[in-house]
Amino acid sequence: MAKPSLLLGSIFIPIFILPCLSCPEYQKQALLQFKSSIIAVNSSFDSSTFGLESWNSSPSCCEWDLITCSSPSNSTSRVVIGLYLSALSTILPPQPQLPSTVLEPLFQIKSLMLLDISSNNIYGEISSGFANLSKLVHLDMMVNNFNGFIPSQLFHLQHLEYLDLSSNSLHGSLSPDVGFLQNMEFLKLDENFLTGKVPEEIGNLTKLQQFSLRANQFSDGIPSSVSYLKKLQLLDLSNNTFSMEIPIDIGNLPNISTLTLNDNQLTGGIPSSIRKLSNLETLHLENNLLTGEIPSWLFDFKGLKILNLGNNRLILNYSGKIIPKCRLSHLSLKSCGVAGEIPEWISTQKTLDFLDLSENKLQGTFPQWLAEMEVGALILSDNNLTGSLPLALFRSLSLSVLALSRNSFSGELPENIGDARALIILMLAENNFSGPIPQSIAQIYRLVLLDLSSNRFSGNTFPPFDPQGFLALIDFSSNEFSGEVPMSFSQETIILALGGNMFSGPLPSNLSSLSILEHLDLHDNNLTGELPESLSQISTLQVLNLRNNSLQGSIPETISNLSSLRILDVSNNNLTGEIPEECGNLVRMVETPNLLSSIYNLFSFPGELNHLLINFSAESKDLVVNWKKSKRRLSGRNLDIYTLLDLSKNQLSGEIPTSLGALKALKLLNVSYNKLSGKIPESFGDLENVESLDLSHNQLSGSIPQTLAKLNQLGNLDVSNNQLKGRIPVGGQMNTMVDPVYYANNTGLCGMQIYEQCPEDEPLPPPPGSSEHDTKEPWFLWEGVAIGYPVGFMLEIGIIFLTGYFTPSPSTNRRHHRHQQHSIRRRILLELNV
Amino acid sequence: MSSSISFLCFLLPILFSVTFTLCTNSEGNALHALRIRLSDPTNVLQSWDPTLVNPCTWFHVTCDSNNHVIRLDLGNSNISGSLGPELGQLQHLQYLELYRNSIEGKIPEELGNLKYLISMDLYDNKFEGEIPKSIAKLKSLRFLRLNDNNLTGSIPRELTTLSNLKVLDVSNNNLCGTIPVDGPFASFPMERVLKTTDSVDQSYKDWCHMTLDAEKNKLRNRGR
Repeated sequence: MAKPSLLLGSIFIPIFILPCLSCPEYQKQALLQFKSSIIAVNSSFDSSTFGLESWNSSPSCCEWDLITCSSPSNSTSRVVIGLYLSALSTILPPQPQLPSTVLEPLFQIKSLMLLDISSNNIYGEISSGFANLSKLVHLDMMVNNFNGFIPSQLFHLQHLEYLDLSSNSLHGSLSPDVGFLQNMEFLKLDENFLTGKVPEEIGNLTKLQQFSLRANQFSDGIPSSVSYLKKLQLLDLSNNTFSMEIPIDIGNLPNISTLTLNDNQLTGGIPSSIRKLSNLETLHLENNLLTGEIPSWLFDFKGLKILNLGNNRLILNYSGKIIPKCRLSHLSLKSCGVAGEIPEWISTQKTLDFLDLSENKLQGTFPQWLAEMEVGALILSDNNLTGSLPLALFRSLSLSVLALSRNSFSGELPENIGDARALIILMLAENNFSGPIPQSIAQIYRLVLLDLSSNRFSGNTFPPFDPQGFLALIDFSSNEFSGEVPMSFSQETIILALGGNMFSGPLPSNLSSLSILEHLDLHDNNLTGELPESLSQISTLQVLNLRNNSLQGSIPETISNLSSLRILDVSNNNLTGEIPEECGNLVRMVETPNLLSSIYNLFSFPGELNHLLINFSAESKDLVVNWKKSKRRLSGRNLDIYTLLDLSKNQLSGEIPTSLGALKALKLLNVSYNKLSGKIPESFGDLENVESLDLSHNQLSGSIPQTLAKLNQLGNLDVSNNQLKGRIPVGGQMNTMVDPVYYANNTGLCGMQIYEQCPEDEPLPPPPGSSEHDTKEPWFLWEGVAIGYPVGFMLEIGIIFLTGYFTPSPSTNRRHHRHQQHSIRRRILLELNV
Repeated sequence: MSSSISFLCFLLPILFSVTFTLCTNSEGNALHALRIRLSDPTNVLQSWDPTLVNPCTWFHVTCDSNNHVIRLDLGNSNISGSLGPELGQLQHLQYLELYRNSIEGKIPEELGNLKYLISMDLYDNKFEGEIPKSIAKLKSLRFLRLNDNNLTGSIPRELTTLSNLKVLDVSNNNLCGTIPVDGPFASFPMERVLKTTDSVDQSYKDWCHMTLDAEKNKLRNRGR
């Protein structure tokens, strides 16, 4: 970071020779104009909205807040050289949006050397007016909504040393003109939508110390000219789509301390030239397509603190031989083919705070030395580790993340687990742990995520989690828990997954105390009793899975209060009564706004931890449903895109309410295996997103409504085992619903799909005007005949002539006779031919 | 059809015991490769997450109970781009529904590998080139709708061996040559309407028919 205050304070700028020491009147006026233009954006704003109360008519603007003027001197007036206008809005978010035109007055203040307009929610294109500010040294525009291209005028500000355009919505490519910024020391364009190549001209910025393009869409290669940037200390090209080998020339940047190339599509090996980067402190290469062996010299950098190589195709082959010279705080060798026991050289890294060895082939038990290392985050998921957990592990007051899912650990959890007071994330899924959950776990007051799923935990008493605690994500599913459904959870609970156990008795009546619950999964238990009304009070509930229980009674009408519900699965219970009309009011099944789970904004842990929390929480959201006729696991990572209603395998009776047709967002609707009667509602043609519609095994009668031909996304329709009759609709996807199994056991369905001729087709097509309006236009419009006939006649004669259609051929004639009924047009042709 | 099902029942357990996970992944990879070829302005392929174990929970994809893709439903999806050879890896595909899009380029030869295909709907796109002869290998094929494209060449004689073919629509292309008369072609009721778009659905009152259209095509009957 350039030091603007120091720099600006020491610079002497002789511009205007005026007797007074106040700022020039025109600059004052420009500033007042700026102030009034941002206040004018919304009538409810005043100067206090932006903390500009001091900007008034007092003589010198140099006395105002947020402004720096040049030093007074004998011969010149003071001029405005710095404007610190970052995060002006003092009101609570959402911040007011400001159009970029509000900046126009500032372009008159040509003496400006520093302009900071970051974090102001400014939208619109970057004005070419910046070209006026030719003295600018430091320009910070980060965290706004600037869109469009970066105007090349910006690259002609020849004194510019610091430019930050991060976190905007800039598009287009980076102009080769960037090469004119020869004084540039700090260039940051993170988090935009910039595309294309990084221009070769970047090599002209020989004073550059920090260069960051993180989270854009730059592609192709990294230009070799980067190797001219000898002063470079930080290079961050992460989260782009660079697909190439890491340039060998990178080794010629002697001052590099931070090299961040993660989340690209980089290929090839780790070049040996990196070995020359003797100042290296941070190396991020994770999430690329790098191959080959991890060179052992990587562990020889004395200053290296962060080494993240995870999720490539790299192999660590020599786990025993490493004698590291580095003192790492952060090491990820995720998915690096590390085999054998957990490498013991890791114990030399006394300052290690983050260790990710997940997705390797590690065997053996949890080493005592590792348990005693006081690591902050320990991620060993997806290995073959065995044995029980050492007691020492939970004596750590540093351990905040422990992820051991998908290993073969066994035994009971130690009673002292509650001593690990720093734990925030505890993931033990898919191991062979058994016994009860130790009561002491409830003492870990920072615990946010607890995943014990798919083990052999048992018992019917649960730790008394503090209702005021932070535990938000709980997954106890697929264990051997019994007794009544536990309810002593935090009021902050967002995910509660208790499926696949032996819980019995009714659903707890105080469910509504979990007032921000989003995901309740109690599938495959022995629950009895009715659906409690209190369930309908959890307006945040998005996913409710109660399949495979023995619930009775009817679906309460109040269900429509669940205004966030996207997935409702109550299949295979003993529910009776009618499907309530009110189901059609489940607004999130009508349309799904892109509401993010509160998981994404509830926590504000520092970077990596939040990232882990979001990733790990997805595991507890995994949901097994009946998806298009097969049992499928929907990944919690993208569960947000599914909208399902499964009421199958109950005793529901009466007619299907027409209102269900309103549930336009549904991807799947299953009411099969009930006792539903009456007709299939015409309104089902409005289920525009439905891919799977299962109405089978009911007592439905009447015909299949032609409206179903409107279902463009339909991939699976089952109406078998009802009392349906009449023509199967044709058109669109209905033409492809041709599996006879899905029409079987009805009382008289016909149509091309099942090779069953409909009686009315027998000799002649239906009379004109009988076709329904909402179906496809009839193939033959009589109205068109009057116009079309003469034209068609001539045309047809012509074509007949050209193509030799009417070559006298007995067989053709015979065919025509045999299939006389099937085409009026052909009939006309035939008549013409006669 | 029934014979192919019984064949499947016999063969599948053997296949799965050996190549279960491999199969599903390769099908997912094939679909992912397709996605990369296609331009998808309305994000209908957004749910196609290649990191999932198999593509069976992707939208517009249907699998059978053995995690094999049997349907690809992308009709009316506003997609463009071209198809590639990888579609041929969807070995168990029964329904290939890509109608009413703006897909261009050739119909890949490899579609002939989809031996369980029942329905191939590529109508109303911008396909060009010839109708691949390999389609004749699709012995289960019942519906072949290639109308409203820019296909050229002739109707391959090999298609006469498709004994299950019930609906053939090649109208509104730039086909020329003679219409085959053997095999299913011999018994097809023939539609030679001027404009097929409005006849397509209604004509399914006959589940067995052929629509050739003379408007753009230059097809000739062969005298027998």
